[in-house]
Amino acid sequence: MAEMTVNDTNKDLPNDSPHRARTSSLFGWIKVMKKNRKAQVGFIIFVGFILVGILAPVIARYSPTATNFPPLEPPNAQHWFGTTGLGQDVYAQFVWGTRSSLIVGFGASAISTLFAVVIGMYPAYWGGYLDRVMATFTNVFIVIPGLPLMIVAAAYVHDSSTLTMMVIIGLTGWAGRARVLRAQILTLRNREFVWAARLTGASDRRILVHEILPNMLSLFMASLMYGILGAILAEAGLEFLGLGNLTGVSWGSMLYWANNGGALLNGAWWWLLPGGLGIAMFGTSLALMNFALDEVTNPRLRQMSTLSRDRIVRAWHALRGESFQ
Amino acid sequence: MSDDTAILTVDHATVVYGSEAGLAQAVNDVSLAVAPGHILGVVGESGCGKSTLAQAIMRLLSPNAALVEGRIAVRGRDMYRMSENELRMFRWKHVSMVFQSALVTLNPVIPVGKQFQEIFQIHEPTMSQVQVRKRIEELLSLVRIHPQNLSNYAHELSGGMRQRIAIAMAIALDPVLVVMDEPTTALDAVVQREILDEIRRIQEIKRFAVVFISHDLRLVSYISTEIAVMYAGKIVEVGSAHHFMAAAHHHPYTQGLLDSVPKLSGEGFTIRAIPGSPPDLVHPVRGCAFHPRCSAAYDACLAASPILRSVGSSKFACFDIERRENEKAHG
Amino acid sequence: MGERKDLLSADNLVVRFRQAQGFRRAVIYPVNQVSLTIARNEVLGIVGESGSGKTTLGRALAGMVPIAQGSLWLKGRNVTELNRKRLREYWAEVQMIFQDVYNSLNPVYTVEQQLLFPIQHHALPNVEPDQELERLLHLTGLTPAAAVRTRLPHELSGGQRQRVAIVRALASGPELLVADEPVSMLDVSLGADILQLLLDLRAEFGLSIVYITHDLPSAVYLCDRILVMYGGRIVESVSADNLVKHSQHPYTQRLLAAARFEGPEESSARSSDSVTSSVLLESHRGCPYAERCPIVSEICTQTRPELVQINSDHTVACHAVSTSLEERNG
Repeated sequence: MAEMTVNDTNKDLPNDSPHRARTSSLFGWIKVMKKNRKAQVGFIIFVGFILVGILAPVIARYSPTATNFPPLEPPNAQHWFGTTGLGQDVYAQFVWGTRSSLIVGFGASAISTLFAVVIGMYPAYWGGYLDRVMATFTNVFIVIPGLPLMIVAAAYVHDSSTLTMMVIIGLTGWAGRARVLRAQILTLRNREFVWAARLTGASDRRILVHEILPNMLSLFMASLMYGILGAILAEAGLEFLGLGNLTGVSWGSMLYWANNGGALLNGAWWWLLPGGLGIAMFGTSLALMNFALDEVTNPRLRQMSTLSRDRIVRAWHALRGESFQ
Repeated sequence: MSDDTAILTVDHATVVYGSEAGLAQAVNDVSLAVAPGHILGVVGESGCGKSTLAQAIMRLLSPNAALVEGRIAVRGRDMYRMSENELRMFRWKHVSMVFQSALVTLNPVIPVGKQFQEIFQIHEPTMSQVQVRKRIEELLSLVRIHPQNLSNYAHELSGGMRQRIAIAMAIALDPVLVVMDEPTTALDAVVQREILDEIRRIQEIKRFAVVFISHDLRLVSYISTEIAVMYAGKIVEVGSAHHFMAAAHHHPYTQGLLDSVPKLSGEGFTIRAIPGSPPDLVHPVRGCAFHPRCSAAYDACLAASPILRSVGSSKFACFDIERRENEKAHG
Repeated sequence: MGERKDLLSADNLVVRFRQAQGFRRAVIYPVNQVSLTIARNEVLGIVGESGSGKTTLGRALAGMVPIAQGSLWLKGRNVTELNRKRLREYWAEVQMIFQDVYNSLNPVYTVEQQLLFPIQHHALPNVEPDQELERLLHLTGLTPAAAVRTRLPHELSGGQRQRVAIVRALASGPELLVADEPVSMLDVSLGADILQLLLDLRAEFGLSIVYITHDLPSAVYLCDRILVMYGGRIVESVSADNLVKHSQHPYTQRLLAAARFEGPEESSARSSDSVTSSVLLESHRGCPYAERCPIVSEICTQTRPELVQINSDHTVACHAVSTSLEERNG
């Protein structure tokens, strides 16, 4: 072995650099994400909403359905967000509405994720007949317009409990996500490193969990965020159309009642605004985190944005100790 | 190096990339000139700066790179002093480019013929349809492509045909300089050889100057009139291609390249890789960039960076060659 | 078959693919009636251009694509059709090294994480996986091993990545390595080391190697015997020593001329690089090389030439060669 003509690759190894933090593993991302301004802002808003939802019973001050307040009062010390035309406290409604909107959002997204994974990902890995059937099934679901389908389904079941809403939204929202995940599996399953794992004796389960999934994490997270956002928008849409649970309180039903109660005609902006803002802000927080994820996992995006040509020239001259105008 | 008759002059050009890790000097104080009708082959491995040099000549550097020093001029005109508009009219008309993949030049959703016409519409708006048509057919016959292929889309053509069409497009406006960045690397050996012969033949007819970028020393010595070898952003050896493969001495890096590829005619020849690792452009070593991998390195190589000096018919940036030359002269 | 204690032998191997051509689906044969043998400790070269079927043949030998017809034998066992379990056993003996060094390692794992599983999976009971990893890293020149172990793929040079892939292939203690263009994506100064490493490993472990490449000079350098492929078929089989001087097939000679950068200017009169996928169709008749061949004659477009023995280690499939051979023999 001594005469083997291999050179020492010691010098080959680059020094520890900031690049080391750029891994594709979950911990690596979290490290980089922590430093990303968009991720920070998005995460703070996101956590804020979650806290409001969890702490609703503690911080709501009044019952959201109590109608014993003077109607259409603008925001004041008693009623921070004012009152509705029926004499309900808007702040209490917003806080409880956050809770139920998020529950439906997360629940429905969990259901659609389950479907997307089972129908889109698993058959795609094994390929063959089952995959073709599932892909066709997915494509059929994609071309069915989602909102009308939900409306029909919601009208048909005559039950507008939170759970029903979750199931209806979840079952109509998985197809697009399934297709994206399937496409990613298809590109990964024949990559050389996946084949190499197969050749070293790894089982299919190990390949899927250990080789493929970690490489889909960013796509999976993005898909999850879009799933949550889509579910919340769908819930608001159904509620706004009066197809949801109108005795409950959510961002969508707040909008529905505000619209039906003539909030705009009465100039009661405080009645209309919180529901809409809730949806918009929560959507923004997810979008910000998603942008950040994109930047972290796609180094090219980052490099482009960090250094302009002017700055390079300036840095170069500074490095050489020259002054530069 | 500012030869007045030269088509391309590059004077002390330095190109820097900005990245998170720091500034990387991809092209480091490079000077060269290409005379009319000459083919300059630029050889080196990945990261040596040859492609960056090609992009700098075309003023096509990526947004995170800048020509921080030096001057690059085509027929005495500095492209870096032109406005965007001037540049657009100048590029392709006077200096054009052939890329490694013709798919960079060819739009996948427009038939090839239409793309030819667009070149003339932009740069020669006064030409009539008939004249354009005639001109395109001339160009195609020059690269031996049948005019019926004009209605094809890029993906319907073979790699060799695409590269022929890319060459025809590059010379459509009779430029004085064509920069070719690895134009045959993606092709099979036989097709590669054909395209090289094609380039030589057309170049003899049209007499444009060529900067030919490649990683393959044998290929470059086949097609070029001059060869420049680059390492770590610098030219380490430059000379006439005529006797290059048989030259008595080479820069140690060039010799390393020659020794690391198998030859068909070399019985009992053992290939030898260049020891060590490619240079770090962000944290360059002191002295000659090649000294950590060089068996001939001595103390002078660690202290300063050698500059190009004429030895015989070639120029070398190497203290060892200088020293041996001095010893010969004095004893 | 099996005279020289062959390690692997293929008998009239056929690989069939379905390919979409416009709206229709065509059946193509990227590997068509290929027979070959690989002796123990032999380095066999498979040379051809893109579309010649060399990569598909390599993958068929490595059990990565199904074999449509013909048979494949490993040490006298029929391994043409294997179920999942048998295939895993086959892969313990036949391993693959890939061309694309940027995709052959999982980007999210360190060198150590990539390699410990295959080593543990195949380790003998008395072998400590950690020490085995250390040993293999040293063997392939990945030193200092302690530093290399914790690197992620993007922190390694192309040459180092290929070494890691080689360690992974060696983990199961294989007898045959199928190396598909192992250096074509590497810089020449780094690729030379990998070629030399393959030769060292062959000497060290008594490995057999199938070296697939488009680069004739490196095949001549590395291999004992070379198969030249065109259009899914073997057109010439010759020892590496004889290939340079005594090759007979016009295609081999053309490859040689192109690699040498010598000889007359390549004539472009014949459309040498027209799309050649039609020769892979079942309906194709005659010699696959006929439409590019400078010495094509009537018969070449009609009947396909069979491989003819010229001497003990040299066979050629070419009508012109067979005809002159017959004339010489009277």
